[in-house]
Amino acid sequence: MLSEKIGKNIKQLVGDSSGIMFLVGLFLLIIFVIMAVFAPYLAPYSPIKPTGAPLLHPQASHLMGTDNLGYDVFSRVIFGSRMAFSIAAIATVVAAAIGIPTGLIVGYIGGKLDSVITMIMDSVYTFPGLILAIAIAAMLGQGLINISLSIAVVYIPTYYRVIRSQVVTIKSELYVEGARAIGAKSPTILSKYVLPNVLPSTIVVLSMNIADAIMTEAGLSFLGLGIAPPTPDWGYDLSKGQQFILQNDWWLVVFPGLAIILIVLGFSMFSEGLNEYLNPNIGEKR
Amino acid sequence: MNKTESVVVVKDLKKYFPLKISWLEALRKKEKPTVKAVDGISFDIKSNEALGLVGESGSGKTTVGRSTIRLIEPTNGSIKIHNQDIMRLKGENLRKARKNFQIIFQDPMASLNPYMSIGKSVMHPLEIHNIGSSFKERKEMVLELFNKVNLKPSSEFFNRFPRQLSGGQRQRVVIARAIITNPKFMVSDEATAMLDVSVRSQVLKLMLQLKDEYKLAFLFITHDLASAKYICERISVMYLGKIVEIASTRELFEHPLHPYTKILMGAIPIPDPTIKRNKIMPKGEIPSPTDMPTGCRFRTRCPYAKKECEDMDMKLIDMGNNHLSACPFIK
Ligand SMILES: Nc1ncnc2c1ncn2[C@@H]1O[C@H](COP(=O)(O)OP(=O)(O)O)[C@@H](O)[C@H]1O
Ligand SMILES: [Mg+2]
Repeated sequence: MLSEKIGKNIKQLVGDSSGIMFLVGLFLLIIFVIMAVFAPYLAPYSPIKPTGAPLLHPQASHLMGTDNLGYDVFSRVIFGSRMAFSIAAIATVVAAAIGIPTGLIVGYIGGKLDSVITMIMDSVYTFPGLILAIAIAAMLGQGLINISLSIAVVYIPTYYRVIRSQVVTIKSELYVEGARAIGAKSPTILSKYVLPNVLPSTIVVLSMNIADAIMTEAGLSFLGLGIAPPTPDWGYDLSKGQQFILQNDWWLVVFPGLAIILIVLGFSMFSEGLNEYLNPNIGEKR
Repeated sequence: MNKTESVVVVKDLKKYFPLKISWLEALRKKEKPTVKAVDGISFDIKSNEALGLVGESGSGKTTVGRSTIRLIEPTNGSIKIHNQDIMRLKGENLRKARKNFQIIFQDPMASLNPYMSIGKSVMHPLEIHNIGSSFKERKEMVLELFNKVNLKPSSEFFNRFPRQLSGGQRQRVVIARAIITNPKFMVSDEATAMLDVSVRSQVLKLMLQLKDEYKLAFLFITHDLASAKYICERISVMYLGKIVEIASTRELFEHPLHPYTKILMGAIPIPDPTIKRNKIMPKGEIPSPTDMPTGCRFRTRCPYAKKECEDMDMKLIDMGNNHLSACPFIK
C-alpha cells in the first residue's frame, strides 16, 4: 500500500522516535476529524453557493480565496473533509467486511479452495489500484456509494492477504491444536483462538487502508469520476483548480492539495506508529 | 492379562507421513515415499497406571501421542479408549468423545492462547462439553482446580494472561485444562522437558498426584529415563517407529534386555570412546526414517549386530514376567 511506503519512509527519517511520529499523525487526524464534525460551525460560508467575486486572492474575508464561480475555497476545504471521511469509511468497512472473513475462513480451511481464492485475490492485488477503481467507477457511475464500492474492491485483497497469511501461521500454533484437543468446534476455534491473534495486524491495515482510500477517492474525483459537483470534494477542486494554474491562481490547487497531503500523511504516520506498538514484527512478515 | 480392565488398548498403530515430492517424481514412482514415523505399535494402559514411552528425539513418540487421541489421523490401527472405538468415531462424535482423553504438550508457552485469560482457557472445555450449568458454577470448578494445581490465590490467577505467568505456572494451567473434564486417559508429551530443573520435580509430583486422584490411564512420553522411572508403573522403549522393549519399570531397570535400552541406561560400555560417558547415546546418528535399515532397525548402531539381524522382523518376544523385547539374541 502506498500509505505504508510513506509511513516507512517517515519512520526512516525520524529514526527511533516513532512515538513522536505516532503523535504527530494522531494530531493531524484529530484536526481533520474536528473539521469534518464541526464543518458547519467552522466554515465561514456555504460551500455550495457563490459568496464573493470570482477568483479572489486569499484575504481576510476569504482566507483561501475564491474560485472561478466565487465559491469560498476555505469553506470547501473544510466541508471536503466530510466527503473524504465518508467515502474512506464506507470503502474501508466494505473491504474489511469482505476481506477479513474470507481470509480467515479460506486460510483456515486451506487446500484447493485456498489456492483458487488466493490466485484471484493476488491478481486483483497486483492490478494497479487506481486503474481498477477507474474501471469499476466508470461502470457503476457517480455517487457516494458507487465510488465507495469501486474503492472497496481495490482493497479487499489487501485484507485478505494480511489475514490469510497470519491465519496460515497461527493455525499451526500449539494453542490451536490445544483447542482442537479439548473438542472445540471450528467456528469457535476461528473466533476465539485465531481471530484475536490476527486482529492487531488488522487494525494497522485498517488505518493504512483509510489513507489509501482517501487518495484513491481524490484521484477518481480528479478524473471526474467522483462526486457530482457542486458537492465539496478535494479531488474535484484540485482538478478544477489546475485549469487556472497558468494564470497564477495558485490558491485553487495549493489548499485542496495540501488537505489531501496532510490527511494522508496523518493516517500514514499514525498507522506506522500503531504498527510498531501493536506488532513489532508484522512489517517483515509481509 | 484381563483386557477389560484396560482403559486404553492400542493395536498395530501406524502413522506414515507422505513425503513432499514433485509431480514429475510422483509420476515415475509407483509407491509414494513416506516417513514411517510410527510403524505398528501396540500397548494397553489400565486405570491409574502410567505407561512410559521413552526414546531418542525422532523416534516417533510425539506421533504416537497425537495419533492415539486422533489429533492426527493414524494411517492404520485400532484404538479403544474407555470401551469406545476411537478409530470409528467421526466428526461430532469424535469431538464429544474428546472429554475422555486429553493431552499435555511439551511447550507451555505455545499451548495457551495469548489473548485468553487462563481462567477462561481452563473453563472453555467445560463450556464445550456442557459441564456445569452456569458461569458461576463453572468458575467455581475452575477455582477449585486452580487450588489443586497450586495456582494460588486462585481468584487472582483466574484473570491473568499467559504472558504474566512463569513456565511452571503455565504448565499447571495446561494440566488444569486437561484434567477439568475428568478424562479417563491422559497423554503427557515431554510435559516437563522445557521447564527449569527447579520446578520440574514439582510438576512431575503434581502429575503423579492427579494420576492417582483421577485414576488416569497415563501415557507418559519422555526422553528422560529418570522421570519415567519416577512416574511410571511400566515403560516401553521406542526406536524409529517401533517399540523395542516393554516391561514393568522395576524389571526394565533391573534387567534391561534390548541392546538399545541397555545403551540408554548406560548399562553397557559405549562402543565409540569419543562419545562422552554421561551423554548416554548409541554410536552414530539415528538413521533417517525415510531410509530405514532392513531387518532390525537398530542393527546399524548395535554393538551386538550380526548377519541374522539384517532380515529379522522386530516382533516383541515374551521373555517372561510380562517382559517383552524385540531382540531374540539377548535373553
Ligand atoms: N507432520 C509431519 N510431517 C512429516 N514428518 C513428520 C511430521 N511429524 C513428525 N514427522 C517425522 O516423524 C518422525 C518422528 O517424529 P516425532 O513423533 O516428533 O518424534 P519424537 O517425538 O520421538 O521426537 C521424525 O522423523 C519426524 O521428522
Ligand atoms: Mg516429541
